Amino acid sequence: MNFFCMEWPLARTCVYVPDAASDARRRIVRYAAAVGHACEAHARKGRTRSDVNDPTAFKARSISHWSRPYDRVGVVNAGPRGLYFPARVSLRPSPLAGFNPDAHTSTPCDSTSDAFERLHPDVALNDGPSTLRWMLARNSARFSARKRRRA
Amino acid sequence: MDARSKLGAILGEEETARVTGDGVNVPMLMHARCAEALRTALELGMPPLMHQRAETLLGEIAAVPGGCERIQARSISHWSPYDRVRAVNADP
Repeated sequence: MNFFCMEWPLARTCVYVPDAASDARRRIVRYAAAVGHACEAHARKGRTRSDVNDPTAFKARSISHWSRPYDRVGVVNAGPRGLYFPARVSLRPSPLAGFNPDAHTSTPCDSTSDAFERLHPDVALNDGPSTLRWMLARNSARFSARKRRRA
Repeated sequence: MDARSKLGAILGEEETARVTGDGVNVPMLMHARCAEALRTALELGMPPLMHQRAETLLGEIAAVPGGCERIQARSISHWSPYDRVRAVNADP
């Protein structure tokens, strides 16, 4: 549980506390932050993402990529490589390139096409730049065919 | 730095030692004190709309330890699959 994400909006709301109640403002922020740390102090120590060498550590994964029963080699369940789009429809290089929180557990692959090739060789054709080239070539071919038909 | 040390850094060692005694529910105590400070801010001129928003946000924070407690309060040794009327499995 990321308490910071919940405490931050509350801290921002404290901007509206007038200066006459500056002491109350300080107490609000302090005690709200203390809730998270107090919970953490009582929590059982166990799975965490802070230690990268912990094999049982929790790993952040996009829920849209979750396919546990069919993903035996961890290709689909690997870290997010596209940004907001699935890799097969993304037409631009991922801005997250070089950053992979699951790098030590995921299947090594150099590109998205490489990753999808492991699923099925035909899927690798759907790589971004090559798809774009294919779409442009396909459209120009269709237009030129129409012109020929009209003529 | 562990969570206890962070708590000490925020509250001060003296107050931390005072609130972390046996039987004290520290997260809920922190929530209560925060709510009290919010009330003080409202009395001293905080806009009511913003106060209401802050209370909602504080409620969301407090729901986390509150939810954990409700789960933990039910002892597993008292759980019974045959308790259709929820006499044994009743929420304490």
